[in-house]
Amino acid sequence: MTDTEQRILRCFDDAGVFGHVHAVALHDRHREIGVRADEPVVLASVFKLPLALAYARMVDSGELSATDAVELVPGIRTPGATGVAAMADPVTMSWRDAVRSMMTVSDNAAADAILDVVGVDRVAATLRDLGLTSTRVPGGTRDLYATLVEEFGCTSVNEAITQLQAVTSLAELAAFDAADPRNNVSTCREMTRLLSAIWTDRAASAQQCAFIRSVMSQQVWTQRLAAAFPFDDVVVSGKTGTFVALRHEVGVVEYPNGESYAVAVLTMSARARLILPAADDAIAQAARLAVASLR
Amino acid sequence: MDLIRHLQYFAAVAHERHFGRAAQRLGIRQPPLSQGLKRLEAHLGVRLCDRDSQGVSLTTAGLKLLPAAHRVLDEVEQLRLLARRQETPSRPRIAVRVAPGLGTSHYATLVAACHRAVPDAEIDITEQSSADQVQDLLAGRAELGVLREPVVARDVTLGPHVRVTLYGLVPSGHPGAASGRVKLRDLAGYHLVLPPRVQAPAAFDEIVAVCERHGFLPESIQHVPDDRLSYGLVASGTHVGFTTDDPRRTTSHSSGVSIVTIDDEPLTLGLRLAWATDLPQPTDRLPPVIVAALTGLDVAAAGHDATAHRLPAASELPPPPLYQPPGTPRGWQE
Repeated sequence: MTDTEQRILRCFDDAGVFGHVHAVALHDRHREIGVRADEPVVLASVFKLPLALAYARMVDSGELSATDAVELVPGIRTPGATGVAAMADPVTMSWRDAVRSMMTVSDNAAADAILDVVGVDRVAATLRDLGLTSTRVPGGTRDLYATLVEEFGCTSVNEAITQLQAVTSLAELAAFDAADPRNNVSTCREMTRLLSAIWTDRAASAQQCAFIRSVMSQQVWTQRLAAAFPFDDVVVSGKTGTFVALRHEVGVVEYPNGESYAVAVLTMSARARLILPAADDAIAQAARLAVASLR
Repeated sequence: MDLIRHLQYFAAVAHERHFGRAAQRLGIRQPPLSQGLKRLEAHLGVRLCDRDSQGVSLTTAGLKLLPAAHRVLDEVEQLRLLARRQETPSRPRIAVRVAPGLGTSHYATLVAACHRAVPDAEIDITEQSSADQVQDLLAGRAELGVLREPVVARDVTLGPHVRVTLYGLVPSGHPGAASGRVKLRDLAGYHLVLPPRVQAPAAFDEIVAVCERHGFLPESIQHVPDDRLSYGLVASGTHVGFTTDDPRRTTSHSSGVSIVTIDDEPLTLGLRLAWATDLPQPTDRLPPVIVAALTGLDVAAAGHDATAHRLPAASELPPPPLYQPPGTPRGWQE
């Protein structure tokens, strides 16, 4: 194990999280670093990245128009803490703005509406096409909530989450078990491969790849990847995933001189606290260490 | 000839440098000793010692052969010891590792209960950080671990979970010392003594978070691995700490320190039993005994069934944590 890998593990231990990392220099494909990079992890909202890509390919094939309107109606749309999911009234927006809301603020209502039109089969075909055999997206946020409500035998998601927080051994819960076929799962290495395909215009058309890159650069949460590279001339694009004990971000760090690094950091905390600054810091620190070792 | 016995004669003579004393040492008479030594010299084809008026002195050859003779005799002794050990098989040894944090009274109960439960085994109880415990369990260096929660432990089998109540450790001059009760906010203005964060980072952060949540933002946090220093700092009047020692059962303690009940948020030390893949006999008797010892239950009442942990049904789950702000749907997937 290299010195950097040891330092990354120490920073995970110090934050009380079980972490996974993979980083690769996109401008120089031979250099990479990984810690548990091939271990499958439950994705939380990071699944919205392959979903966005499947949407982009649907636009490419002419099956969907990016500017067509979608109406997100309360009571029907999936609830959540952010974006349209958190709002009170009906919202009508274009598909591409729904993708923007899904990617920048992790809007659950937008994500499930997009999954409804794209379908899990198209997402699976996209993953297959890119050779991502360890990644699977069998469902959306709605399905996760249904699983939770069922597992705890309660009536609402909020109730399920409260009970989930009281469970002392999170690793034993189905919602965090990468082997459970209902969960959306990937590995750090496959996430950086997906990012690499988007950044080199191989994942979809150049126009749609540029669209995904642009919405990822509008990521609103800066505690994780962006916190590791707080330089005005460095662009950090990312997609976060957060669900109780899961804290992730996958993204790309681009320097003005052309250096660019795809980084995936997936973590699971021992504690079920909803806000854990130490875990967010550990993601930043792991990304900082990984990228520094490749520069 | 009996080479071993003759080498013993040689070693005795070399040690005593006197036939009379050597014979005494060997518990034989002198003539057979002299004859025996002569036979050994004939057998080896060298002269080993010279007799003179002063006693016995070793020849050059004798001096050279003596260490080899000692080696042979040592090996023979080892052989006999080993054989004796096979006759009466040694008691099974069970290594139990416990994460730091428990106080004296819990250890007293724990150690006694383990010895009672498996009297025919040697039970070795030591403290070790959770991370190191997992390594040792997987490598077979320990049979049973008591991990500090929260812990993300992969590959080991997780057993039952135990919560041990933490009490406040305050200077005798603290207003709460008289009543025996404090709220966490009553500790404001004091420095906090905790076991080093590196031993259990998540557990450390959790305790600090609960303190802050309930109005106790420590002046500073001092990482102290040693109980005596902790008590000393508290006795000095400027620090407070936590202990698992129950004030109702703990009689004597360092002067200047009082153990008090914490009234608002119950602070606990979360522990979880763990072992490698399966629990062999007689180690499987220990988990229920340890749980009972830590929770203050009657050992007999806890039963002897070392069933692995199962996920509690929703109805068995503890009430929701108090810190969740009502009405705010936090925790939604983001």
